[in-house]
Amino acid sequence: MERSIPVRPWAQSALVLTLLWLAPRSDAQHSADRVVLVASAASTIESLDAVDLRRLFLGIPVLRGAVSYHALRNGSDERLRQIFLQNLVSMSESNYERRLLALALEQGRASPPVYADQGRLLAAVAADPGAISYAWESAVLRDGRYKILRVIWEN
Amino acid sequence: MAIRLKFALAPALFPLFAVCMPPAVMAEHTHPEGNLLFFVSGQAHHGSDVEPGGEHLEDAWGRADIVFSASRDRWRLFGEYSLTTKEHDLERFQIGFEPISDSILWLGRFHQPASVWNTEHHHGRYLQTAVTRPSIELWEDDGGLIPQHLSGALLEVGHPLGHKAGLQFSLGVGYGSPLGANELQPVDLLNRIGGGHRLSSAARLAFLPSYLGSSSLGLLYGRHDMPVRDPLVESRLGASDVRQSVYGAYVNLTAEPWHVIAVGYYLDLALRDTGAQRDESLAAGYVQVDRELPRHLTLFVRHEDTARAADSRYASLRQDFVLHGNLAGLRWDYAHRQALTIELGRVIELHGALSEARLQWSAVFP
Repeated sequence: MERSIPVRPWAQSALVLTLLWLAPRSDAQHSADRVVLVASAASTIESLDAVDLRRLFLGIPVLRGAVSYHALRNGSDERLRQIFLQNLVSMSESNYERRLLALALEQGRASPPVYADQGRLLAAVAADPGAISYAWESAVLRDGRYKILRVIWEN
Repeated sequence: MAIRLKFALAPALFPLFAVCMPPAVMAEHTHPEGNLLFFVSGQAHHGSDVEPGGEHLEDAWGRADIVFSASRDRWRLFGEYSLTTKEHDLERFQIGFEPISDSILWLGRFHQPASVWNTEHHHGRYLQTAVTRPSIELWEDDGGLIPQHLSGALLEVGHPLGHKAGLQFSLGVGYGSPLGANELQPVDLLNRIGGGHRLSSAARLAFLPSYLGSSSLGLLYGRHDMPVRDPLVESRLGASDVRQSVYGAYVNLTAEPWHVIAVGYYLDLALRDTGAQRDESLAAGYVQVDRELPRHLTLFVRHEDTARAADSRYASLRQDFVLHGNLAGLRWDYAHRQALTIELGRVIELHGALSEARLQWSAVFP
C-alpha cells in the first residue's frame, strides 16, 4: 500500500521562492566562470589573433608599432592553468614545457614569467602597457585599470 | 687539476640542489628579458666492451649545461657552457640582431643548422628522450664525422604560410673544423688551439605544419673544407685535405602521444693530396619513435644504420663509429623538469659489436 506524504502549501511556496532566488544567482555564477585576456587600460592594443597569442605565451614578443608586447602567466589556480593550456596554447603541459625549453635552447628565449598571486599579476599588468595576461573576468570587470581584449573561455 | 675536480663535482651536487627546489612552477621572475637555465644529468653506464672511464664524452657520468641569454629591444646575447666530468667548453656564444619578427642574424660560435638532433637538443640531455645521441650526430670531440660548431654568421628566417603553417630557413657560414689527431677541432673561444680553420657552410629549409609547433620536415645541406693537421691521420687518409659535402632530409613529427624523428644524411667526401684525389661517400641515418604512456612514462626505440661506412677511410678514423644499432628505453618524468631514463642498446661498430645499458637522471633548473 502506497502512502503519499502531504506537502504543506507554505513549503511549496518556499520551494518556488528558493528556485526563483537561485535562478539569477546562477547567471551571476556563469558570468564569473569566464576567463578573459587582459591588458593595461593604458595599452593601445585592441586585438590579438590566435597565432600572436600562442607566440606571446611561448615567450616570443609581438611587435605592434613601437610597442613590444609580452605575456605574463597566471598561475594562481589549477583550473586557470588547465584553461590556459587548452585554450591559449593548445598543448599538453609536457609539450608546452618542452617547447619553452627548446626555444630557450635554440634562441635564448625567456619563458613568460608565472605569477602565483593573481593580485600581483594584475598589478603588473596594470603598470605595464606591453603586458598581456589572462584572469577570471570577475577579477577585472568594471576595473578601470584594465582592458578586456577577448573572452578566451566560458563555462 | 683543482679546477677540473671542481667542475667534476658540480654536477654531482645538483641532485641535492633538486631536493631543495620548490616543486611547483609558481616562481615569479622579475627579469623577463634574461634567462639562465641549468641542464644537468648524471648516468651509470655498463657496456660489454667498454673500458672503465672510457674515452667517450657520451659516457661521462656527470654533465651540466648552462644556457644564458639576455635581450634588449632587437638585440640578443646568448651562450651555452657545457661541463662534463671529462671536459668543459663554451659551446655557443652568439650575439643576435632581429631586424624584423622571426628573422635573426647571429654572429659568434653556433651549432650548424644542418644537424637535426643537435639543433633540437643541443648539449643538454633533458630534452632528448634517449640517453645517447645517434652516432652520426656526435660532437666533433666525441668522434663525430660532421663538423657541428661553426664560428661566423648564422641567419635564421621564419615566415608564416597561410593561417597555420610556416617555412623556416637557416644558413650558417663560418670557420669549421680541421682534422686533428683524434678529432675534428672547431674554433675554441676560450683556448687558442692551433689554426688552419677553413670555411664551412650549412643550411636547412624546413616546412612547419604548425608555424609555432614542434613538428617540421625539411632538407639539409652542408659543405666543410677540413685540412688535415695531424701527420698520422694524413697518412691513414692518404690526403692532406678533406672536402665534405652533406645532403640530408628529415622528418620530425609530434602528434601526441607520438613523437617521430627520422633523418638521413649522405656524405660526399673528397680526400685530396697534392695532385691526387680520392672520392668516397657514405650514408647514415636513424629513426627514433617515442610513445608517451600514462603516469609520465615514455617508451622509445631507435634504429641507426649506415651504408658504405665500412669502406670509407674517413669513417674508419673512428673505429667506434656505429654501423648499425638498435636501442630501446623507458623514461619517467617523475617530477617537474626531472626525469629518470633507462636505455638498453646493441650496436655494431667498425671495430666490433657492443651491448650497453645506461641509467640516467636528467633535469633542468629552475
